[in-house]
This record gives sequence, structure tokens and C-alpha cells, in this order.
Amino acid sequence: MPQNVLSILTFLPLVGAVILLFMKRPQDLPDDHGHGAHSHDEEETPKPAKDPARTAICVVAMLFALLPFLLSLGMFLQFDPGYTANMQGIGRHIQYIEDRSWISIGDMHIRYKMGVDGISILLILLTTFLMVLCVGYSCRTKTRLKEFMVFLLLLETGLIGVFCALDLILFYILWEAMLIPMYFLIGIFGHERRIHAAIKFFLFTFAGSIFMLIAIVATYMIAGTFDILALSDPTNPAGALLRNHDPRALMYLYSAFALAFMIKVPMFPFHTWLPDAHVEAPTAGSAILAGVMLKMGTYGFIRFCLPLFPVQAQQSAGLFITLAVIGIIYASIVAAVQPDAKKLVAYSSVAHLGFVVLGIFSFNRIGLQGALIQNINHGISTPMLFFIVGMLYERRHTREITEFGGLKMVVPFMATMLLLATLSSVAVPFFNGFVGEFTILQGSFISSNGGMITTAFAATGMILSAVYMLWWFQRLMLGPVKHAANRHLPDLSRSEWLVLTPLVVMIFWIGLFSPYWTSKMEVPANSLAEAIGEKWDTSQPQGAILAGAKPVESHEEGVKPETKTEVAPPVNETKPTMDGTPDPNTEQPKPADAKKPKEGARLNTPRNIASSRRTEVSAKW
Amino acid sequence: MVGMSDNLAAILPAIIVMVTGFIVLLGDSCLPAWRNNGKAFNPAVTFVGIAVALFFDMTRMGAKSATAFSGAVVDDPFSRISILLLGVAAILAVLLSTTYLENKKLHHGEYYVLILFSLFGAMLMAGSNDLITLFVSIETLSVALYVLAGFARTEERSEEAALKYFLLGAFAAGFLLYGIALVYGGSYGLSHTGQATTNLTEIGAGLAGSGLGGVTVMFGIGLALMFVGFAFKAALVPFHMWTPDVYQGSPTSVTAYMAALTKIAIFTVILRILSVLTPISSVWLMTAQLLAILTMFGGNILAVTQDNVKRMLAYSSIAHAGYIMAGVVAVGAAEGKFHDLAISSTMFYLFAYTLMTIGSFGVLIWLSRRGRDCQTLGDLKGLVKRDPIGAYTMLVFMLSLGGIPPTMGFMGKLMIFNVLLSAGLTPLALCLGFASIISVYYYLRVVWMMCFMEPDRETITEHATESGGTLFAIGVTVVLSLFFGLAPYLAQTLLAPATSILVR
Repeated sequence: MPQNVLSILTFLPLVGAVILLFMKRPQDLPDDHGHGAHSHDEEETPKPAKDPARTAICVVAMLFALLPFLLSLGMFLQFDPGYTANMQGIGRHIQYIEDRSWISIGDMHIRYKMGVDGISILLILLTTFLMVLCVGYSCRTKTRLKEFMVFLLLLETGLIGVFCALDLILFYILWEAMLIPMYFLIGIFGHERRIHAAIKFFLFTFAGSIFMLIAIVATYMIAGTFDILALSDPTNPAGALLRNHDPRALMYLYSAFALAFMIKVPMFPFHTWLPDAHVEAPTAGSAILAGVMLKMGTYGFIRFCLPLFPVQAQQSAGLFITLAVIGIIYASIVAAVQPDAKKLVAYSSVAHLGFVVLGIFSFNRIGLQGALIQNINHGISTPMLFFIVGMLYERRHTREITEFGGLKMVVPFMATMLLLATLSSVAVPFFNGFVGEFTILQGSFISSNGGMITTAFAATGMILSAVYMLWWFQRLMLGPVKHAANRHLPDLSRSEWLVLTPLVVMIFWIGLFSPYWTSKMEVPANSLAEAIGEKWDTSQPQGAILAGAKPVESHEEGVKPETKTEVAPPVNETKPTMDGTPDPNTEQPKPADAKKPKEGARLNTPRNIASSRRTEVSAKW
Repeated sequence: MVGMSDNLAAILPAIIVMVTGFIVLLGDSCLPAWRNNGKAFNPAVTFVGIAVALFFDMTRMGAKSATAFSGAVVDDPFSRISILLLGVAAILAVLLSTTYLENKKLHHGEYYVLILFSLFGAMLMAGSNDLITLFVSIETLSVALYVLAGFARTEERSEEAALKYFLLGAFAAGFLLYGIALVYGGSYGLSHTGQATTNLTEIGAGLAGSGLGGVTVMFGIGLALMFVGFAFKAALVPFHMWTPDVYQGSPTSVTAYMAALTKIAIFTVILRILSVLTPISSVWLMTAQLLAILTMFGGNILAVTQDNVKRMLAYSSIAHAGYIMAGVVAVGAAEGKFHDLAISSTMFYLFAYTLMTIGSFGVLIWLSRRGRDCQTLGDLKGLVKRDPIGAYTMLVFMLSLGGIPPTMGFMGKLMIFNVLLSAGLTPLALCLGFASIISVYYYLRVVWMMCFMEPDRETITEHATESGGTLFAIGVTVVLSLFFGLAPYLAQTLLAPATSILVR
């Protein structure tokens, strides 16, 4: 991999967007609002004169979506999940670092600093993966196709950049700049109330982030750097300055950061922009919005709030957990009564991300890993739901749930796909959602932040999700065909198969072989959990069972070799270097180096859940 | 004792501009060959004149600071930077003017003469070190602008703008002059020579010696009245009432010029005078803060409901005056290296403001090239389909004005935040944050009108006139707005000398 692979990855889509700008604008296709039976899929019956400009735009856009995907896939495969540098904070596991001086204002130095660890590389992979599907799906966009692709690619640059950035200002610039293409995607290509939704989306996010900007500058005033590697490291002078500063001031800073991320997630009182934005956005926009952009909020908590302000995060955990649980229950109930198919999915997003926040603020490795894997899960199942709702909308030009019903007879394959996505969203075992939500609940249960009562409330969210999702599915697909217009809907076209199949593969890949995915991010997740001070509720028996994890904290005594056998990941055909790099037997008792979270940590990965299936898994592989 | 040539050298750029003004005036009225080709000659000569002035200004950038005309004029890096900004604004305005004036059938030589004379006044303001010089140069600037505001003399709105601007400007001048008189009287005990003075250096030295104790009531009232005058010129709330009417009524090219030029000139003056008043900063800091907050909220809130883009941009320029005022407050409150940083950051913001204001008015001019004045949000509906260049450049300026990365407006705002926090003015920074949220709404309103709405009437009937100058000016501002947003290094280096204000 070249030295500046992250820059290449980030700016490849931008290059694509610029190339697209200079290409010929294709003719807009007539917007057929032909309701009902004879509305056909253009992929199956191509127009007699296919516009070569359209094809060219699609090919170029696809190329510049595929290239970053392949590049990030290569990075992901080459990436060393066990890599541990000799420092504290986030920097321990950051790889592919790029660091250049960039802007100086007085003696304030903004650096162009990028790098990834297991947490961010998964999100980057998710971004590039979804973007390929979105570009593929959006080739059917009838009007202003070129602009659509340009904005999608610009958005991708922003999204990848946000997940790579290690400098606060660089992060902020990308975080804000990315609003603009999304604003356009919603505003130009959205549905009836698109302008309202677009402006609401923009204002909400901007209102949160402008105070984050002030907090970023204030953080600089305290610690003298924007580099989050230094800021998150208590042994670094900058990190020490930040930690020893007046706790009240730090609380304000933390709140400013947290507010920006809460709005982005979105958490309960700030979630109102999301249903609007989701419903009004075009399908690909909703998919990216739900799949990746919301993850920026949870990623922000994990990457900035927790490592930079661990004490404040601990203090506010109660509030965040309460809001998360309220969000889960409230959004689930509201989702159940939505007449609009897309809005229901949007509210389900709020509930799912409530789970993620619950996992994060459980403050233990189980909760964190669950949150991270649930991030990815939600990024797969929800875009799939949006894609299918989008396909239904294209066929019928309505999203009213009552307009459908009995579609299983008409479009059996689509119904199957929707069922898979629904079950994934409901978190049924064997599907990916289960891995994440169960781990989160487990983490919250054994955490003294969460505890039994909280977890019990949160767990009702799982039941409620079954209620609203299954009912939704039933109303859309089961029963008799109520409307004549639905009798002759075409089933999935070739391109739709191409979009949905990879998502189904991912659902089962994560659902059945989750250790492969969790192993990528468990090392940074465990380090983070340690750094912020894990919360175990030792009064509960689960805490005792999981005391097996304790050796990690008492790591100086050395790790028993027999735990090592547990370590071998069940699926590791792609990473031979995995276990070779950090050798626990030659481990020095140096504190920074000795914190090898791998060994003990493996015990509490979601493999606990999958352990019953482990034999089956390894047999297959 | 400095010789006459040294005196003249100190104001060389201003003199060049003035002489160019006379050349254009005489050439246009006396030479038939010139007059017949007026629409080529006038802007060309104006352009060259300003460019030569800027060239001399740049060559003197490294020279030692000096005073001239017995201390009435100062020639320091700060004034040179300010002159540079003024010149850039004027050049951009001239580029924007040509086709626009032709379309409005306003193409007269006097236009350029007035531009040059007002520029002369502004350049003198930047270098004036004496309250009397200051007053005279402000009036030179203002009188030329009064006429320019009414330049579209067949339009009622333009006449109204001119009259309003003139009457209120005269009021402000009265305040200013009365303030100067009182300051002169009150400075009696301050000056080390024991005499009353209007010289800023001497007042500064006196204040540094006496501190707060030397400030008499008369001096204090004088200062307050002077600042009322300045606030009128800078359009700070609550002295902003004239701005929207004048900006809306004036020909758009004049509005672009006026919005940039007066702000640069008046904030140069405010910075200079406040740096004189640093020893007594405790007196005015609170007031200045209050003015800044009122201005940024007042401007932004009033802009939200405007349907006329020129009027909205007028309110937005008021809001930006508030942001710049916040920078000025930081200059007064910061100490040591942060003081210099505050000055350079404020100048950077002024530069950013210049580019984005001229740019956004420039787009309106570009859109008016079909003969119809483009003013309202309705005119912008569905613009992206009719005129993608105009729409997307306008987008950049709106983002820049809203302070959204990756634009220069964002970088400027970041710098202002930086100096505010380093000067310990967190509440002001928070106010700026809140104000920006409001502002984003109406900037984005322009964007959605342009990009999300369908054009509701056919406006493309007449053939568009060629306007290379306009396009060039917009292109330059758009490129610089983006470039300095991501790599402000060059602009920072250019503006860096501004930190040495002689009178300190």
C-alpha cells in the first residue's frame, strides 16, 4: 500500500466527481407517473434509443465508486487488527498514518492527519460498499442524473474523510462539507416536502456542529494541539493538560461535542430531523444517510467524546443511557403507527441507534463491541429496507402502507428479500442484527451504568421492533392482494438483484460468522474500554462469569498460554499475520506495551453468543 | 524634517488614484476620441490607474513606517495592507461595472471618476493619523458614494437611496465632527506638549501616560460621539437603518463596491483609533462588545424574512460587520502575541468579506446581463437550469458567507473564534455561533431557490450580452474564496504585515 493510501481513498471520489462535471449532461428521461399495473421497469425493457451520455455517466460514476471500494477492501485485508503502538489513547491502534502540516493561524497549527484503526476501517469499508450499491441503484435516476452522481461522489469523499481524520479541524471541515452534497441530494431529488426536510437536516446539524467548532478551538486553547492522538493520550503532555484542566470547563467542552453527535445520531430529543430527511430523500440518499451518516454520530462519541473526555463521559453516562432507552422505546412505538412505509423505517433507525448509544455508554468492552458491530449491522439492514421501499415506490409511486398488501404473491423474490431485511432489523438469531443487539444488551446488563432495569427496558425495544417490523411486513406483503394496481407489479430486475444480493450476503456473513468482523475492531474497542475505565457490575453473577475478562486488567501477571488457544479466530483465511505480530510470550512488563487486550478480550466478544455455533462454523470454513 | 517628496511618497497610491480620476474626468469631457470610445477607455484607464497604485503600494510594503505632513498622515504596513484590500475591491468593482452599466444605459465617465475619488478618500482614511484628515477623507469617500448611490437617476429607488444615504450620512458626519471637536477640547490635558491636539499619535501617547485618569468627561463624550459616527458608516446596529434601502436602491455594481469599500475603510479606521485607545480599553470594550452582539443578531434576524436578495445581502453585510466588530473587540481585549493575531485575523475576515460580498453581488450583476435587473429571490428560482455557472458560483458565496467549509468564510470565522477564545471572550464567541445558525437559514434559502425550485417564468427571452469582465471578476473571487478556504497561507502572508500599527 502506498504511503498516502488514505488520501487517495478519500479523494478518488472527488476526482470522479470532477471528471463527471466535464462530461456531457444526459437528457432527462420522462418522469412516468403511470400508476399501477403497467408501470414497467426500464432495465427490463430498455428504451429504443439509449442515451450514450447516460451510460457514460453511470460507467464513470460506477468506476469511481468501485475503485475506492476495492482500495478500501485491499486496505481492510492488509490491515493488522492486532497492531498496537507504544502509546496510550486512540493512537495505539492507528495504522496507515499520514501527517502533514497544513494551516497555521498564529501559532495554532492545523495538521492534515489521517489514519485508521479497526473501528474506522470497518465504517470506511461500509461506506465504500454502500456507495457502490447506491451508484448502481441510482443509475435509473431519471432527472439530472449527472448532478446526482456528482453529489453522491462528493458525499463519499466527505464520509471517508470523516472516518479517517485524526485532526479535529480536518475532521470538522469534512464533517461540515459533507452536509452540502447531502443537502442537495435531498433538496433536488427528494419528494414533495424535500426543501423543508433538506433545510431542517442542514440547520439541525449545523446548529450542533458550530458549537463543536467553538469547543474544538477551546480544546486547542487548553491543550495546544488538534491532534486527537495526542489529546486522547494521558501520558502525552497535551492529553495530560486536557485531563488536568478545570472539570467544569471540560464538561462544557464535552457537552458541545456530545450535542453535535447527539443530533447526528440522532438521539431522542433531537431526532425530529431524521424522519423528515429520510422520507423525503431519494432512495440512495436515504440509504447513505441511514447507512453511514448516522454512524458519524456514534463514531464521534467513540472517537472523540470518550477518549478525550473520559471523566465527563462517565459522569454523563446516566443521562445518555436514559435518553437512549427513551429513544428506543419512543421511536419503536412511534414507528408502529406510521402510515408511511419509509417513515417507519426511519423511526426504526432512531430505535436501533438508541441501542448503539446504549452500548457505547455501557462503558465496557462488550457494550462497545456490540455498539460497533451494531453500527455495521444497521448500515446493512436499513439501507436494504430503504432500497426495497424505494423499489416499491418506483413501481407504485406511493409509500402508503395501506396501498400495498399481498405482494408476496405478485413479487415473491422481492418479498423474500424484504423478509430477510426485516428479520435482520428485528434481530432474529442467525441474522446480523441479533449479534449486535444481544451483545449490547449483554454489555448494558453487566455494566453498572446500565444494569438490570435499564436493560430490561431496552430489551422491550427488541420486542417492539418485532411488533412494528413484522406487522409492517405483514401489511405490505401478506394477505390478499387488495389493490388491483398491485396485481401486475414486476419482480426484481437484474440490477435490483445486483443491489440486494451483496446486502443479503453481508447479513448472513455477520450473522453467522461475526467473529471475523468483530476481530477487526475488538482490539481498539477493548483499549478504549480500558482507557475510559470499564464499568462492571460485579454484584451480578454475569459480572463474575465475565471476570474471565479481568486478566486483561491484571495483564502484568502475564497471560496464561491456554487462553491463547481460545484466541484463534474461526475465520481467518485472509489474515495470516493476525496472530503473528504481537507475541504475548515475549511480552515485556512495560505498562504501555503490556496492555495486550487481545487475549482476554476474545473471551467476551460476541463469540460468546456464537460459541454454540462455533463447531458448525469452523466445519464450514 | 521630511521633505515634500517624502510627504508625497507616503500617500503615493492615493495620489495616483486621484490623478487617474482627473485624467478620466478630463479625458471623458474634453477629448472627443476618448468620449466616443468611453466604454472602453474609462474602465481601462481606471483599471490601470488602480493597478499602478497597488503596484506602488506593494513595493512599499517592506519599507519603514513613517508619518508625513507633520504627522497628519501615516504610512505603515497596516495602512498599506488596507490600501491593498481597498484597491482589490475597487478593481473587482470596475470589472463588474462595465457591462452592467451598459445594460442599464448608465455608461458615463463620471461613474469611474466617482469610483476613483471615493477610492482616494478611502485610501486616505487608511493612512490618516489625525482626526481632521480622517474627517476630510471620510467625507471625500462619502460624497462620492452619495452620488454613486443615485447614479441610476431615472429610477426612483436609486434616487431614494442617494437621498437617504446623504441625509443620514450628513447626520453621521455631524456626530463625527462634533465628537472630534470635543475630543480636541478634552485632549488638552493629555498631550505631553500641553496643547490640545487632534493628532492620534499624540493622543495615544497622552493616554498611555495618563491612563484612565486623564480621560475627562468631555473627552469621553467626544469619543462616544465619534463612535456613533463610525457606527453609522460601518452600519452597526442600531445605526444601520440606512443600509438596506441604500444597498437595495443603488445600482448593483455600486452596492458591491460600496459594501466592500466602506467596510474595509471604516474598520481600518476603527482598528487604528481603538489601538490608540488601548490604554483605556476598559471603558469601551463592553460597549463595543454590545455593539458587536447587537449587530450580528440584528443583521441576521432581519435578513431572514427578506425576499429581495440585494436587501438580504445588505442585512447580511450588517451581520458581517458584527463579526468583524467581534474581531475588533478581540483586538482590544487580547494582549501580547494574541493582539497581533487578532489584528491579522480581523484583516483576514475583512478580506474574506470583501471577496464574498463582491462575489455575491457580482453574481447578481452577471445574472442581470440580459437587461433585467436580477434582485429578488423569485428571479433566482430554478437558476441552476437556466444558468448553472451563476447558480454554482452563488452557492460558493452563500456557503462562504454562512461560514461553511471548505470556504474562506469558514476559515475567517475559525480565526475569529480563535482570537475571541484566546482573548477570553467566550460569551461573544457563543453569540457568534448562535448568529451563524440564524444566518445559515437565509443563505441556504437562496441556494434552495436556485437549485431546488423550478423556474416559474420564462426569463430567457433576450440574448445575453457578453460580459467577460464580470465573469472574470466572479471567477477570481470564487477561486480565491475556495482556495483561501483550504490553504489560507498565501492570504495570511499577504496580510501579515498589518499587525504593525504605527500609533501603538
